[in-house]
Amino acid sequence: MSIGVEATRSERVGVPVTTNPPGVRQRRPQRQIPDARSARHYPSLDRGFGVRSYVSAGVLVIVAALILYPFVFMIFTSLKSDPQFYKNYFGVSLPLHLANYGQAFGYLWRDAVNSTIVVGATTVLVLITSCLAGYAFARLRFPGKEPLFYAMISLLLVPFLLIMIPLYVIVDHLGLLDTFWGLILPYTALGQVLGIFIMRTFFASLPEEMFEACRLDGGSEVRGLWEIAIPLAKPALGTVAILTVISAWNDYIWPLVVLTDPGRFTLALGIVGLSGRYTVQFGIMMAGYALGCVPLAVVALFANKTFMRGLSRGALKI
Amino acid sequence: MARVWLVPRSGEVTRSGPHLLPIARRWATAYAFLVPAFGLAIVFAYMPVFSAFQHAFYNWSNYTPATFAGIQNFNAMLQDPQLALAARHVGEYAVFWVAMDLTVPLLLARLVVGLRSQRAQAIVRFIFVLQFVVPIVVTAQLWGFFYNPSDGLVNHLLGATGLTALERPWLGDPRTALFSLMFMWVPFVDALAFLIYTAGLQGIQPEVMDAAAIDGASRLRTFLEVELPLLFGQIRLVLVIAVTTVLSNFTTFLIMTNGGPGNATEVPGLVMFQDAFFEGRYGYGSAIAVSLFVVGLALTLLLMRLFRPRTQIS
Repeated sequence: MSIGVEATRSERVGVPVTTNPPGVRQRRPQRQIPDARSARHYPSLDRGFGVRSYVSAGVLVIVAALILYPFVFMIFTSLKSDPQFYKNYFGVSLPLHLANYGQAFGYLWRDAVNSTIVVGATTVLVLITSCLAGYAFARLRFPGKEPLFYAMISLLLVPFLLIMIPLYVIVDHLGLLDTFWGLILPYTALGQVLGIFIMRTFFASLPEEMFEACRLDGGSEVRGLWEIAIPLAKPALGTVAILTVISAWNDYIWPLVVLTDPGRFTLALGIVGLSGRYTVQFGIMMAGYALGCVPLAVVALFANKTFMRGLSRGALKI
Repeated sequence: MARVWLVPRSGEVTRSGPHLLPIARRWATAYAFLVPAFGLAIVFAYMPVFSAFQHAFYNWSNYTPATFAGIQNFNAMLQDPQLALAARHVGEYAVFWVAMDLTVPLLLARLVVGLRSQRAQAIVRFIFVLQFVVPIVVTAQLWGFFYNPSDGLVNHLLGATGLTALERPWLGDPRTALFSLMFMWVPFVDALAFLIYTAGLQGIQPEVMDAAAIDGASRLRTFLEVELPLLFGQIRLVLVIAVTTVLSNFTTFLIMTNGGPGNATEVPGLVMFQDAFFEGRYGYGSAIAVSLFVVGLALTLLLMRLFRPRTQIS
């Protein structure tokens, strides 16, 4: 299905669309993909929705404030000791009680390390399988290419709920319950689908001449992939990596099912455990939640461009 | 298919004998490239899918080996009162989510697309990065605290603004629990839907808007009759994602209420999870999962059909 929907246009400049008989298709003009950052390409859209632009901006600010306030409250509370919390509920309490973060960190750091291991390994594996399979689907000819590709893509239709139970049994039979591999391997198997799609699209866009030269020199396909295709693929690889990290990092249900040893818990499990461990010590709990947001925030800061592109690619993928 | 397999495609060397070897080697390389991906997919994706469909028709628990049971599981499903209640809840939640996705993100996207200032763009970008960066468990735990009857933000805010009469145990009262799980998404801007709509609006050609202006259409009419139909592709995508997500996602329900109080916030995904992993009813759980999948597929096909993107304006 296509996302960008073409509109029709009269072939003669300046003639309104409605003078054409309804239903008559016109030739589609060359469409310029607009620069998302400036609205100056859209003089008509600048009219807004019948409201002045400062009203629009005002609405935006209100929405932003509503989204932000829970987190502001979270930060304020995370810096309060229990007495401070009960005395001053809404505002900032001085002195700032940073010890909460120390306690929360002490409770969560092990889980964060575990998450990093699992997500890191998953991302590496996904990148490997996506590059290999994506390259094969994009540039190599072999029997069964189409059916195999559609078979792989069809996995996107499968909700995790459907396979959760049998997957648990399979992981159990493989002896991978309560291990990191029990998390990594299923994550890779499911995450690679989107990765294969993205890498295949990218590799298919490379001109054949590059690989011709390599083949004429007697290089194998592997060399072609490794020395030519991959160095060019950094943005696509970044996108795949970001998408994998986001989905694997936030997952709660599967680690809940697979892991039983608290020493192996992931950060998601740790965060949920905060309320059980600290019950009414809300300052520490809030500090824990704030810390839980840090890893992905750091990733977002360092990969801002790739992040936004990865998000919109993931959203507009179909 | 077998015939095609043996005939080299055009462009390949079409000679017999030892010259076939490079082609076979190329095919072998290709298959080798596919082995890691498909190896993992077979074990951890395809096999579970087939197993789920198969075991939906079996009596299967973690104590006893699976025995064929026909449609016994599905019959049990139809008579399960907890599941019936759960289905109603997920239906209500789906209506809420669809209504939300069709209004707030769309209107906000329309408002924002006309803005020019860099600061506005930056605010928008920041909002949405934030929503993707915060893990769902943090949101669930945070709002779990907000709904705390004695120490939570919601009741304290109500008290501070004089609305003490409205204070209540939000997650502990069966009448308000499901509503609370909906309200926690305030201000109801689904970041993904917003992104999709924004991209769609920015893809509308200015000539179309100019033509509507020349024709003297009011802005409201332009929006309803020109822009919305052109957004059908995006609306369809958002609805498909919404429906499939609502049907299978139960994380917030598990963390915040575990289906309670009583069964007031049970949803089918949660019922499946509880029946399978706490009562060991793998077969029954598979039947529920398969049913949810089929319903989701049917709704997706329906939406694809209903919201065919228009490609011309008449």
